[in-house]
Amino acid sequence: MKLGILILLVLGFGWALFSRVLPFSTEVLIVAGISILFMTIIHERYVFLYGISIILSYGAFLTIYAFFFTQRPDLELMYVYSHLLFTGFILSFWLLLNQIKQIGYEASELSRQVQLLQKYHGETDILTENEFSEQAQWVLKTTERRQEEAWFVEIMINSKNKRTEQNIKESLERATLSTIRPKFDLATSTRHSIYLLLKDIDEDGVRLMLEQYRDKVKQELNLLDSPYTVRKEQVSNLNELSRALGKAI
Amino acid sequence: MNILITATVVLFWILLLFYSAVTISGVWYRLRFQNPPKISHYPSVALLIPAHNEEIVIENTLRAMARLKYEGQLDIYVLDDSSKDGTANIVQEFAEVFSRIHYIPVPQGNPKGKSRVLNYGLSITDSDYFVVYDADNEPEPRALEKLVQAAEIVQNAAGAVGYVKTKNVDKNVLTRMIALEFQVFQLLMQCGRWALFGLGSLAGTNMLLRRSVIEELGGYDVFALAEDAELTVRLTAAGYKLPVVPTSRTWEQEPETLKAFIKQRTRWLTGNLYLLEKSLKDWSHWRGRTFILSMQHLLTYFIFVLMLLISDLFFILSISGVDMPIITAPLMILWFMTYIVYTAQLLSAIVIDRNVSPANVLYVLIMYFTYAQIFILLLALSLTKYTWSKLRNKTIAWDKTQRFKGRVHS
Repeated sequence: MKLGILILLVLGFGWALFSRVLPFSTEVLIVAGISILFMTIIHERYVFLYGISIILSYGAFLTIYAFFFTQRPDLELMYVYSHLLFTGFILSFWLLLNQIKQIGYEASELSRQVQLLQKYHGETDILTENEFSEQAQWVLKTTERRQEEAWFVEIMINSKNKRTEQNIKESLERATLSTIRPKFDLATSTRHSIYLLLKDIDEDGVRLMLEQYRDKVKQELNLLDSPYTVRKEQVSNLNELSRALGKAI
Repeated sequence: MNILITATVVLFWILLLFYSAVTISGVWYRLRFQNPPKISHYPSVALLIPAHNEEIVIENTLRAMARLKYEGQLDIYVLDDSSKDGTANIVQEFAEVFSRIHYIPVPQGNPKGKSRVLNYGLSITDSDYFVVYDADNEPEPRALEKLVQAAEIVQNAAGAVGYVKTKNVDKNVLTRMIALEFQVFQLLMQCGRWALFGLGSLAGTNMLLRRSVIEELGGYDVFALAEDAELTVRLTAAGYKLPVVPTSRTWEQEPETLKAFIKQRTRWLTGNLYLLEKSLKDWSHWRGRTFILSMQHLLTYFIFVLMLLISDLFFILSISGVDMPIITAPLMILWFMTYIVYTAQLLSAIVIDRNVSPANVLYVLIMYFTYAQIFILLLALSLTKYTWSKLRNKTIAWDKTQRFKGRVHS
């Protein structure tokens, strides 16, 4: 609704500038056209500054011009009309840009909030990174209190074929979810890696789990070379996990 | 006649350019502003809330006060000036629960008004600083802390002043316009004066002062209706500074009806006329930085409104086809540009405060023709009131601003 009215205002003022025969109408049209381009290109924080500067500058020009060349009220009134149309055009275009940018900000804020609320990635139901970090805090706190072992595993995807990379990753994610203990271990993924947090397990247990994983991957993929490499390290608190994740990222 | 018109035009434009320079400096200050840093020791503060029949707002106020975060000793005193409604009960309920909230009944006395109540509050407390909040104010949790930090850091500071935002901005056209006016004239120009001349002015609320300073100056002037403006002039004349902290915010209720607005602003204008008269008798008000402050009072509250009236008359006469004296200045375009400059200042304020919306821009565009014109009526009313009271040799009674029922916050 608001956007529609603003578009109508921009068009209306533009049409009036174009069709009314007012002093300096050609020059004003050129400046208005350049201003549209300029205001669209420049950084948001300078749009208003530019708009108000150009409005005040045109006003100052008309005032000085009137002082030296015209002192007829009927002509002065024409200058006022011309300035009003120009101001209306610039202000409504500035408002339109402002509203569009606000909608953009709201949309990115909403998608950020949706990402925070999402627990699983759509295709494979693996945890989102945010949810992984949240749940990892609980897991590591209990592990620390019970003096148990927890292991961080990074599975790095090696695929060189961009066309099949995404599907390989999804296959690896499915294999991951069927290998780890559901509702006990945690798994998430980024573009090129899958991360696991395995709790209450020792190094032999991790090795066994990775062997099972390798077998499952072999069943699904016809690749001679392993499509992934593995890095693992023991973690006992959040700092160590952050460090391990930091190294990974 | 020609000379008079030319002088009016020239003066009007000098004023407009001056205000534009102050606005630009204000924008510059706001963009560069950083919160004052933490300090090692937070001095004790007495928070004074003068109250008179405040039952419809005081609950929200005290809820906000209880949420204030301050690392030093903070005591909140509600100074009840003979309330006849439920103010005392509400405050006492809070005082029973929160150790730092105190209910203080103020003894009867004359002349009535905020200054006398504040002087009483000062007499019963002994903190290093005191801060004043009106009874309808809801400061943000860190508002006071920021004021104290600024006051402690700036050399020769008598205290510090914060920003007053409008709580009931969406209530109607009037409250929206008051909010816009506050954004420009209360904050942006306040910031600009501080940036250009090192001048801050007390806003009557969300203002912190050092006790030693107010004691040195002999407390509040009980006859001043605009006690904040009056004290600002004395502080500045004594060489003190008042840093402006735009991030220290309080939310205040503004008049929701034209009647309440006229009553409030007539009091403010009458108070400023009293201050003008006082300044004309006291030459210390016209030296150094105080000169700018006194000049600004004279120009804002008297000359500017008078010129607004003259410019309106010229405009109406010229479009009505009345023969105007021929002068060598394009009056109509000059008049038009005053509107453009005034509007540009308001637009800058809403951009800086990040509340640009089509509705706000529309209000800004019509404010010169509506809201600003009310000030001609206000000046006429306050001049009449002030002159009448002088002729009868009587003190003008304090008129408390009417409060409006808002939503009780949780």
